[in-house]
Amino acid sequence: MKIFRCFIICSLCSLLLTGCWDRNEINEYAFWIGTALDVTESGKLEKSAQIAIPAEFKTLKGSGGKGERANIVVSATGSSIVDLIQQIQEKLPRRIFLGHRRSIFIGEKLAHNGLVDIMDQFTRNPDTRMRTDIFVVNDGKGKDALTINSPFNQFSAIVAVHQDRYCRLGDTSLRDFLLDAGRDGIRPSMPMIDIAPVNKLEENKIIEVRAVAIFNKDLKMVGKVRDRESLELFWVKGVLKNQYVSEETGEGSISLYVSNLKRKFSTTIEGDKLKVRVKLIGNARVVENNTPIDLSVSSQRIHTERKFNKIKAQQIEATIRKIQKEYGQDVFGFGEEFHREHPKQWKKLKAQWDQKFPTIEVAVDVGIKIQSTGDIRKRIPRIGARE
Amino acid sequence: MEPLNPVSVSANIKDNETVLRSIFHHCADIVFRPLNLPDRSGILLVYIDELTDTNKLEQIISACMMNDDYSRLTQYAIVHSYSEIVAKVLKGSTAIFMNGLPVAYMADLTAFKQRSIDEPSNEASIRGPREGFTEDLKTNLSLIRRKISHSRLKFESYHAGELSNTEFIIAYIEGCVKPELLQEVKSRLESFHTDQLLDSSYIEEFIEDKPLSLFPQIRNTERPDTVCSSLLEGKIAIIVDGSPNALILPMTFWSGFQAAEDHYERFLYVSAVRMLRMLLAVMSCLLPSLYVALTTFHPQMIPLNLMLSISAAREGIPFPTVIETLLMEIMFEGLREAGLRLPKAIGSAVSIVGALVIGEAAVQAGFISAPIVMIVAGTGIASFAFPSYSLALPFRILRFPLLILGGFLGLYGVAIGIMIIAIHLVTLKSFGTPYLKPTAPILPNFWKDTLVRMNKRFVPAQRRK
Repeated sequence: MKIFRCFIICSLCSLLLTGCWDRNEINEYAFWIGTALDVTESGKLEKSAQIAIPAEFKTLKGSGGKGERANIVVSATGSSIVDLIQQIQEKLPRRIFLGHRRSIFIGEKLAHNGLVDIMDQFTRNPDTRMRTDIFVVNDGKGKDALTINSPFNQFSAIVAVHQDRYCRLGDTSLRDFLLDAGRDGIRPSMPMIDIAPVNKLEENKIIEVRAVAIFNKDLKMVGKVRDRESLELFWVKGVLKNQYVSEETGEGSISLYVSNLKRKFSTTIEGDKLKVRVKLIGNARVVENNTPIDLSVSSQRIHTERKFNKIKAQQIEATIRKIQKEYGQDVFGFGEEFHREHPKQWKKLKAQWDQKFPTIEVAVDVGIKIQSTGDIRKRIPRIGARE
Repeated sequence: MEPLNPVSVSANIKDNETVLRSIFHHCADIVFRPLNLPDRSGILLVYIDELTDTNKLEQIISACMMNDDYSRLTQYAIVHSYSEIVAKVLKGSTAIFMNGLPVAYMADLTAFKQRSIDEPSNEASIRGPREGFTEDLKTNLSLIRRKISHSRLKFESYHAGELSNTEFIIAYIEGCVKPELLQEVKSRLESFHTDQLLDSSYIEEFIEDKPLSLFPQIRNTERPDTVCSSLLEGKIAIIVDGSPNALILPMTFWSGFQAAEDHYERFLYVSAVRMLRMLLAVMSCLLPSLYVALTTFHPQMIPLNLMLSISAAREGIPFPTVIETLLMEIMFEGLREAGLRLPKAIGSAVSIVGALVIGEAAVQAGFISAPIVMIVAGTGIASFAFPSYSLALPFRILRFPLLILGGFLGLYGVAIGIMIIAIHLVTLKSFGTPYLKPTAPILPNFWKDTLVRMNKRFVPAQRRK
């Protein structure tokens, strides 16, 4: 009888709790997969939503029915984000569900205008998933990214997430962006996607993730770095895990697959001068060797390794200098390291960090170790083979 | 039973016959067989036709008559009172009266038709002994005694049932069993009164700790080897005449997950299988409620692609998920119940119809979504994985309240349900032993044969006093 009493008491108690009655059938949700934010000509905020259409998803899985997209893009224009969510809800017969939003695309124009007003909603609204990925659309509108019709997935928002992962730019989610934005010694950066068509076949089907947008303290986009430089940026920032590196060594080019990428900063303050030593390490596997060097010989390999590291260090130094000079934003987190190593001086530095950052002397030391020379020891035509 | 008058056997067999005939009035199976001998006035045999080996009786009597030597009969028990004669005759003995002697010789020539020792049908095993208990008490005792040939194995005989007058045996190993436990069991066995004791389950209902609990507190088995290993663990077995199911007590939750085969197969494999069983047990209880709770309350917890598939499958389904699942579960239980007692030929027809109608047509017609069919099927399979049928029953039943809780309150409700079950299980005791022993209370020394089974050489020899 005790168990019955316990059961009745528990069930009665549960009725006192509010907020538990949010039961909704799964087919009465409109799953919001991706968001795009833009500014209109008149300066208003435009929000577009990629909403899943499960019925078309079904025919897609079955016998390749009529549906090709399985999603619909709905837009609304207004002043605040929540107002826009309301407007979008008014266009949909099902309850909006934000819990599965995978990515947010921000038009470059809006990014230049600043994201502070937008980010408040993302941090306040409990429906927002912090692991949502966030992108700036290079030279375009966020909405265009949503209308991409990728052959790999019905949702371009998901394609962007996957591509971000495999392009080795690291997973920059909303949470990472907000964490960086909240710190003093680092400025946020965000991957960018390109949707400019390269050729007829790729048009409206393919997106590229190959650049990084750099933001300042007010969350305004101040610039972007592309391709190799963007990878170097992420390596120095410490979020890159592995990458392919190809360098011209003078005798030909060598390509390495470098994994276990790590970085280490050491900072010194000499009077007015701030110095950072960046140590970058990684384990490499040779994947292409267009030089006459026989990598199976230790002395030659070590020589090549050193040369390679030197070239790479110079490049990275150049990239850092470019970011210091052109954008003046500490996207690498040097400030965080100063904060850790010199907490007392940091109190003074903190306020004027944006002025100090371009003046930092940076020395880069790359320590890639070639651990494997690949399957073959010598090149096929026996050029450079040991006699 | 009516008091007998007169009480003692008389020297005249005619008188005896009259008295006994009045007692066995309208008992067609009782045979009165007077034999007229040349020198004496006669012998009277009273027995039950089907329970007696008439050939043997015939042999004995003819041998006596031919040699005119009746001293052979004196080897049988001598009984003076009618009540005792009646009791023994009803159990299958033959009463032999001789004119001029005020006694009856009770010859135990019992022979009746009985099932042979078969493989236990509900607890079959791949490896290990294949014999199972039968309905005959003596056979069952011999099966146990053959495995434990030691004088410390005790069989104490009791009788219960005013009308059925059934014998049952308490088996235990002196020194292994705790005296307090034995005392407790005996006192409970003596404290109940019943008219009938047709199966061991009758005793179970009278002596279990919490009759209202869903969980069985006494284990039952058809296997002599299971009984023996339990006896060696210091447990007590009750074997009832006429029942092929022996009771083992006290029972713990974990022992319900042990199949007899576990001790015969290699221990690593057994450990893996036991963990699988636990997983399936949890599934059989929670799968439908978790599905309902997650899809209707917490869609953010389901991976996106899976959720889109479920959502697509649910497109256009008329019922809410809770109702849908409840309907399908009831249908499944119905199918199982219907197939259980049907003849084998029809049983397969029922399952084909059930599988076709429910699995195929309902989904095609759009009444039921395909994931529900999978969930119900998965739950069904999981609920068959219990080695003990009686422990599978509470899990089968608890599925429904949990499903309703999950449908009304989401994961919160499922959590409440699990907590109530957990509270009940930790408070439950079987004859003084905590039901969840050795996990609650935590006794790591006993863990070597619960969720996993350690190699026998790492398990200490039976703990004796």
